[in-house]
Amino acid sequence: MTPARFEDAVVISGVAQSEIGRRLHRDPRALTVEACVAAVADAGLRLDEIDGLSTYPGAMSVGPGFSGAGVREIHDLLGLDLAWCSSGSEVPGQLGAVVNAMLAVAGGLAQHVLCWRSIWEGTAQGSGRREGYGAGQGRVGGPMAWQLPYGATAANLAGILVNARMNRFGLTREQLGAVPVGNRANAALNPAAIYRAPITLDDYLEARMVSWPLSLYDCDVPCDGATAVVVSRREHAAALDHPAVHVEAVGCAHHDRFMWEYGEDITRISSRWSAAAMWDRTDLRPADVDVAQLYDGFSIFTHCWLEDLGFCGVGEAGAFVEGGTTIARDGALPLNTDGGQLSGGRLHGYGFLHEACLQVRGQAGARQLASRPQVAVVGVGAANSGTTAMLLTGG
Amino acid sequence: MADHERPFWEGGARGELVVQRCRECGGLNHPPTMRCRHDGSAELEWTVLSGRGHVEGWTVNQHQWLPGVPAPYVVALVALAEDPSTRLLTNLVGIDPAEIRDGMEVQVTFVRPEPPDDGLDDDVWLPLFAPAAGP
Repeated sequence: MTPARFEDAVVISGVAQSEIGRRLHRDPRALTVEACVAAVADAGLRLDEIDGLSTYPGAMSVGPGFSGAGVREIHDLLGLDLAWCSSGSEVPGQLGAVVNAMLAVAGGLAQHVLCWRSIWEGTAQGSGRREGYGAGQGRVGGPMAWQLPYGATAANLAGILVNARMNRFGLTREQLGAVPVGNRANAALNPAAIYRAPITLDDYLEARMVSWPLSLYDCDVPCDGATAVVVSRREHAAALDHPAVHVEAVGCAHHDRFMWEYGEDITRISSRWSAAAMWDRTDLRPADVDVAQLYDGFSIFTHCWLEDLGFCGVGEAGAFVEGGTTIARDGALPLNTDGGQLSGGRLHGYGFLHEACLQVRGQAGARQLASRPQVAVVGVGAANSGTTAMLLTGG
Repeated sequence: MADHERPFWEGGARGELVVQRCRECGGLNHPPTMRCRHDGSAELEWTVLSGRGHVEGWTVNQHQWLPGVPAPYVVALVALAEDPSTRLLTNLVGIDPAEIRDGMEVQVTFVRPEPPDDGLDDDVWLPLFAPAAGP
């Protein structure tokens, strides 16, 4: 007997987001509650039917505004009665919390698990120039001890990735600008996006450098906001008043060393393993995908995801996105249809899952693709370790 | 700082680039570890390297992230001559960033940052890299 696939035992029954803004000056727990309550209602459930919670990264104090609310806070604020819960940052990328929820539901530990990612970096980091993580500490330990003495931050490591791809694959700045410009065009149709005014490729090319050759529009924008998702037993699909979102396949990876400056290949990220793991669990192929929502914490990560998911060859993403036609709303592979994190705000991975669900449900409002996608791929995470890919299908 | 990391940071006082090497397989390990990343051996020792390497990747930082660390500066990955599969995250100094090339040969140089006034007596030296003199 073939072992049951956990994906077949679950549906994504509800999704919602809180108010989202550059700096809302609201209590992040209030934003989290707002998204959670709305997602449960979207799933056609009462709060007392939620018997599991799962979040990334959970309660923690590292990085101003990095975590909006932990499991114990939301358990208490919503007055829940739980059979199961989980939180933490040491999972295969931010969506690892949702994978945990799927496993718990498929394994029978819970019926309906509420998941969220809540962030308030916009407000917490204030209005000054953005500092790197670890700034202001006299001494540092752990991985940062090998970065901060050299003034090295995530943007520098992304800059190295961009430059290595320019040197070895012939990537150009014009090609790199295609995702930021395309995402911004998509954000114009998303009322919740942070930046909605169109930018041109010239605007991109003239923007200030952050870490040459990585410039301002290659970086996502810190924001405040929460995204919530409900994972339910598949049987619940019949009770929904909207199309269910089925999980065709999940792929996770945490192979290489976590410190991304010590990965085995400085031109790649760990999407190459999670994407392969996902395709191993389905008969669908890249040509079956109707829309892609791919992590763009830095724009170059989207290139890596496009290649590793098989939409083009390794080193060819620059040519694939150049000019923006292929990845436009009416192109062969509509990409980041809500504006991604570059324009929509750094919701840290969960915005992509939210948008994929709305598109396959046909409920994405003004930005709904004309031909409702039947298959959506979500790729979240970056660096050497810690990514998750999900293939979702409409009901 | 952790005891098993101290020799790396203190080697610069003697002008030495000191990196962990496996006694069993000879592979280098960085950052310092407790079991060799190549063969799992716990038999690790410190070795003084030539300080030579080549530029594997680099970026020119233009944004001031940290107080007292003004931009611009070059953040780079340098592959070590003795084992190019082992690299250091570092800064390139003594070169116009426009002159940096993929694979260029570099040589270690050390700076001693002003320590925080916290009573610890760590003697930390940062290995940085500059263009290598001719062959």
